[in-house]
Amino acid sequence: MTGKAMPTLTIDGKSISVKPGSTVIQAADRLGIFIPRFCYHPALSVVGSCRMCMVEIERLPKLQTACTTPAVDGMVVHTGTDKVRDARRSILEFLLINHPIDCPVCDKAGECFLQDYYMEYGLYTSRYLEERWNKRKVFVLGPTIVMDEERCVLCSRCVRFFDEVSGVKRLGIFERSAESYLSTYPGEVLNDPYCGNVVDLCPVGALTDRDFRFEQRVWMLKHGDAVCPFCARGCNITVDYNEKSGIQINDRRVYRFRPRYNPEVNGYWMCDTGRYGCRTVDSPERITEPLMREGKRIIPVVWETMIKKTALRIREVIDQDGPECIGLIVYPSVTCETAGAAKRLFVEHLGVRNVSTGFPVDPSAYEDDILIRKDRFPNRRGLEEAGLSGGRDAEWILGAWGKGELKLLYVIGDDLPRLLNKQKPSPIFEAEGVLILQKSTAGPEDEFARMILPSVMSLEEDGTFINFEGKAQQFKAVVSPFGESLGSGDILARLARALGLDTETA
Amino acid sequence: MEYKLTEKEIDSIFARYPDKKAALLPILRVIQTKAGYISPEAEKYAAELIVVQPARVHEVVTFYSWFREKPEGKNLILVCESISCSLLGSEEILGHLKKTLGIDVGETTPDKLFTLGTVECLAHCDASPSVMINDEILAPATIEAIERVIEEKRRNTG
Ligand code: SF4
Ligand code: SF4
Repeated sequence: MTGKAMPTLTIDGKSISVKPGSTVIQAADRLGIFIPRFCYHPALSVVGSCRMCMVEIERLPKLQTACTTPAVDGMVVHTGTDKVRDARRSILEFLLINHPIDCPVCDKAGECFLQDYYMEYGLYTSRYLEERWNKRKVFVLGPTIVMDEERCVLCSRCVRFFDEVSGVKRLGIFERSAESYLSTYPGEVLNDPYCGNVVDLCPVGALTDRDFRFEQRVWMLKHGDAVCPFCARGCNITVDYNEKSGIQINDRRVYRFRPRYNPEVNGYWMCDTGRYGCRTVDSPERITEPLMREGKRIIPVVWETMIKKTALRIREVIDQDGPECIGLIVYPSVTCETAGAAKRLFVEHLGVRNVSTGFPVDPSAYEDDILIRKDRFPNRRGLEEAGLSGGRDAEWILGAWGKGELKLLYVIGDDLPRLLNKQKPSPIFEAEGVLILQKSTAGPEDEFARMILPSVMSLEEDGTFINFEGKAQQFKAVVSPFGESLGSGDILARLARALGLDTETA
Repeated sequence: MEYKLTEKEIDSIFARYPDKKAALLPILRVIQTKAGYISPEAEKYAAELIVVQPARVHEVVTFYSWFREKPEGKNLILVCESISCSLLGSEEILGHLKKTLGIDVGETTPDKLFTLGTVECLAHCDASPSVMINDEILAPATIEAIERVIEEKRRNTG
């Protein structure tokens, strides 16, 4: 140990001072010099087992693994010499001895370390004439994950993820040397609220996601930054989508959510509920166009008619019964901006007092000290700060609505927990009055609705969520709105204009 | 087959290590010696003793050739297959064993006397080829020496 002083070392001619105890690979990462690796991951313990990160260090006779070598003052490191490139090629040659090289049918192709490194350092003609060993090809580890033992490079990233991050040892590497294989304990099914992370972690195509498997070649995908809307943590995510998938109403399709590194919110991870919440985006339940009830039927109308009729209804109730006969429920699924717009329109301009921000957090819901929060909505804090909550609770509003005391009930946002089918449906909104729903996805309450105004989901609009710790996270629209749906704020602004109000300057 | 350790055995093993987890190998040795193999129940039992997940124990059990996962012959013959032993004739020895015992690697003779296995290294490279019979090392091993041991085992354990 070099005491408290920051050791300064030179890597490929660039010098850097690092915290005592840092390793060469950490210093290189900070310099933006990428040293190839399989087993090393910044959030997992260091095992130094894959030998891919070999570098040359002056005055040391042999190559060293950058992940296990402490950065020492005055150290001079070279990461691209012939000797280093040679070592990497040799490691690859060993790793590929029994590898099936089935990239054409492998989901990981295009984002596989082994493939990338081979193109960079391998490119040799195979000297291996013996027969390759065969192992299990399509081995279902659990409800979300499939294992291909032949592709595994035994880096143990997935093993360490469960040991160290999710906290329960769910995977092990059994047998020895060439016979080694990765598996759950014999007979055990891989089940964990954070399973999906090991697919991201796996540097090769050994662990694949049953949800994403064979859906898209990764190079067809575009990527956008978003915030997960499925609980109060607000994990930062990358959305992988294809703008021209050739399917779905508007051709664009969201295929995958992956965690995006943010040390202050979610680190490198996300939970499976959030990850597979991805399916809600292009779900067949999404509402594609404005809908209005005519007798027993609900029929599509154009936005202009929708807005005009909705405004008319609201005006009627205000004039005949007064604003105390209007109820407003805003789910904490909406952005701060939408909450603000709803407050300006309904509370400030129309004088509506019966306002609620949905149902209280279910105390029996699952929560842990890793990421997952009991509150399955992303923006309860944001609604509080917008001054929307503190009015009525939703039970009270639904009570008054059921008794016919409210003539019009306007509901903004989606009941996200129900969308994910994780919790029981919200109380049904059956009553005589005018029920207006502004939301993205169909639900059992629709059958009582007079009007349904399709609004976007959070990754289709710009906005801000405030997470349970009070951290405000802004995001931009990643994909275009589904069908004819509009931004929630946009709908409210159009309504305000139709009502003859100028809410922008409120 | 009884595999559980006595209180005394457990205490004396734990007393030797600062951390319970370190006691895994000695515990497995006792189980292997008592029961002749380490069953899934025994793995779970060992896992409970040192407070780890059974998968951890299974990793260790499957790593070492000496730990067996199912009941086998009374005598375990392990032939080293690594480079120096191969160069000095371990393949012939293995071939001879297969022939005289009439079994393949991983199999047990019908009279349940012998199980044949291979290992990577017995740490006797200087006296290659090496063979391990139960807990004794034969190095350098010759076909004649092995024949003698087999005969003796037949007489004593038959
Ligand atoms: S499955 Fe993937 S992450 Fe796990 S050990 Fe194999 S290569 Fe590494
Ligand atoms: S922990 Fe919450 S915010 Fe994070 S991915 Fe899961 S549901 Fe989304």
